[in-house]
Amino acid sequence: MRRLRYLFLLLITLGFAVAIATSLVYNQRNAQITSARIQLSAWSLAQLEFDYLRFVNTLQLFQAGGATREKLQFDYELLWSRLEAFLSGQENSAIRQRFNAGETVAQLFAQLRSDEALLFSPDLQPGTPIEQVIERYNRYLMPIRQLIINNFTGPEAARIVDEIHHNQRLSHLLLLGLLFCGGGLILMFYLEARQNRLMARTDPLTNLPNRNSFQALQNDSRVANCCALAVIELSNFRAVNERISHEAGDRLLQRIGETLNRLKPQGSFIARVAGDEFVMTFPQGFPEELVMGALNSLAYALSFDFQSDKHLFQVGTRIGLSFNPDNSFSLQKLYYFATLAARELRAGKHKGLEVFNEEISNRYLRSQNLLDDLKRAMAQTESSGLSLYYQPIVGLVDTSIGVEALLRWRHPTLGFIPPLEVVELAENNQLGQKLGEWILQRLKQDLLRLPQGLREALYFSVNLSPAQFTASLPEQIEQWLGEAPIRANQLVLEMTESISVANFNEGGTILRKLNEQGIAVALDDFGTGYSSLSYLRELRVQRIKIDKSFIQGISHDQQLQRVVRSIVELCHTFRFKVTCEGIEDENDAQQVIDLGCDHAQGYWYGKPMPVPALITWHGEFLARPMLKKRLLVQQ
Amino acid sequence: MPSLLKRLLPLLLPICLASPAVNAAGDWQELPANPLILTVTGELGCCPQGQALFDLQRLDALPQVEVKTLTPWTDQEDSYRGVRLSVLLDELKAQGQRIDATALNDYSMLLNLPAARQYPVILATRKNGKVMRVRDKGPIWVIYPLSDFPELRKEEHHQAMVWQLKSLNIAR
Repeated sequence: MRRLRYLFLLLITLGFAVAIATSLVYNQRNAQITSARIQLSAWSLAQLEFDYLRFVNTLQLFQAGGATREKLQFDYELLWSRLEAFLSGQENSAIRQRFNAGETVAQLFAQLRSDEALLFSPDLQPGTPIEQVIERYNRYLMPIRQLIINNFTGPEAARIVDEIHHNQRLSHLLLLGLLFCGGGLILMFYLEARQNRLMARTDPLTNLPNRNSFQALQNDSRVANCCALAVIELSNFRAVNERISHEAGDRLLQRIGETLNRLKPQGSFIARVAGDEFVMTFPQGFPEELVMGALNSLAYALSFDFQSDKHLFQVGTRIGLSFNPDNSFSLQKLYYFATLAARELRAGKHKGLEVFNEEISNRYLRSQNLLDDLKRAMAQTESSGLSLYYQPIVGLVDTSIGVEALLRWRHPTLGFIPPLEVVELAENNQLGQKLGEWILQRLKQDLLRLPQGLREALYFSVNLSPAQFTASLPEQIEQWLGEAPIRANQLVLEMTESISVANFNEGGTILRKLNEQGIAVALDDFGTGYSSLSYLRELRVQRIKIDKSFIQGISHDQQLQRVVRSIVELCHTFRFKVTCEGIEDENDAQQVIDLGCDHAQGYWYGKPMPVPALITWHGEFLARPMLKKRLLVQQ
Repeated sequence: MPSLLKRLLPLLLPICLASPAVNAAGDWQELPANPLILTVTGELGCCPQGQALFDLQRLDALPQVEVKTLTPWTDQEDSYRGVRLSVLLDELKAQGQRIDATALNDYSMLLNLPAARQYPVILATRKNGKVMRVRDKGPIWVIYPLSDFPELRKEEHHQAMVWQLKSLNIAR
């Protein structure tokens, strides 16, 4: 397509050049024709002089008896004809205007006509003295000669020739200017096209090469012409974009682009390949220590507090690096390796630099295998190793008892896989929504396995994954409730702070719709994220779950007690019920009761357990003395 | 009947007058009765001696064409009358590609034969109905129909409009 366009341009250019060349030739020819006009007038004058001289000569011969009457009259006629032709018509109009030629010749013609009677009189015979007649005509000799001279060399003639030359030069100049303009046009075309090409390969925000450019580089070279490649990712970028504004996000990216450009080693290539992902290569022969040094300082430079309006964000980077020993990998491979290293950091929620190695590769392969197995497990209905366990949540100020549904995966060969890993695996591979659906589906099945009395006595708390927290969630839940054997007020949905932060604006609507259905929402892991007071106030949740890191060892740590008491009081101010997680012994349990918590969860009350165990636990729990005591107190 | 003949006579007369001229093709080689005004030389099918001689009468006997035109040497559109050059050449069975026209003052010009045949170029013997004297560029003026055919308005054809024509030479 581009080639066709260039061909077209070339044709236009050629046409242009041919047109100009033709114009030049025609111009030249026109000039020649114009000078031919001058020659024409010269010819006319010469003919005139010739006929005039012949006539005068014949007059003299006639006087000497050397010419006949007929000859004299014939020459008279010829001169007449010549003078008339000179004085009429278009051809000689130019020369008539110049040097008084018209007047001179008209006088001569008048003279000729006035002598007609004399020269044609029958009395006139050869030998007749006609001295006076000859004299009358001789007078014109000099003027006519002068006309010819003037026509060729006079100032007027010179002016005409000069003018012609001047015009010719001018039109040459004009045509050359045209040629120059055409050339300029084509140059502009070319530059424009180059600019467009450049723009297609440049990220307008950071002015760095974009993904297209990086891909072109990948396609161009089979072997990466660099000794190392780093993938630089921002942590927290999405939050900045969504929590503050896209403009703030753009500013952040611009700033990072500038930093990268400033710190990049000479000969290295950098590109912004995705929203918050940059790529940097290191040229051949760049020592390994220097690569590490450069990236470490880059990681340092890219860790800063980003302030926008009232918000302060800690920007951090994850850098995945892969070396290219012996220049054996393609750019594509290197990029892939570096991405894996960065993914490793992301999975571990770490910042800084990670160098790709075999372990990472293995871990990645393992996670890929796990992912395949997870997909398979979710597709199977029974005995897939994937199941739900239920951990009791006990009411401290009332008799309510609920359970939190927790994911358990016993892999056929790898054994128990931590739920966090399963959830992250699913989230990172766009399976979060599907996993969430699977959990709800399995919960529904498990509910049917519970005795009706127990099913109606408990409430059920389910964790939401980020992928599930979309506008369609309320509708999905409503549909689920229609099929499940529990009421809406028996369902609690738990979400982490990061979910609601990441989707804050839309989040409010989602939560309101859930509340309208009578579903309570709990904020999980409270205290570990970045909740602000204003955020808490606006959030439409009913429960706050204080993270177990605040509870562990609380019975002998007064400061922790004060912190938790403050949190509880704050939450109560906002009319949130508070659940404390991680209650491991009686002291903890007593402590959280004293601090005013509403609900408690932990090994002290019961570990996560499958449905049959839950039924047993419930029976035993109701028989516990502690509970009886509390029931009595309340009575 | 006689009245009809009387009425037809003006129409028939030119035909009767014209036909002897055509029949007298052989006579073109003879010196004409009136002053000689045109000599045609060259390879002429009509005249084995290679020469045809014309006085005004002989030229008038050929079909006449009228051309109204302005010329570069006249100030108004005049009416010229004479035999068409191509007709004359055909009458003479002239064979050749070049025509040299020579004037009384021995000005000589090569005519562009295809153009001369394509357009009604005439050997004018009369201007505005009057026989042309030498002072009027007579007795014969080669007239191109410049007014009717703008494409003829070129130096090349202007030069071919030889006045005071006295002879034509036809060559291969």
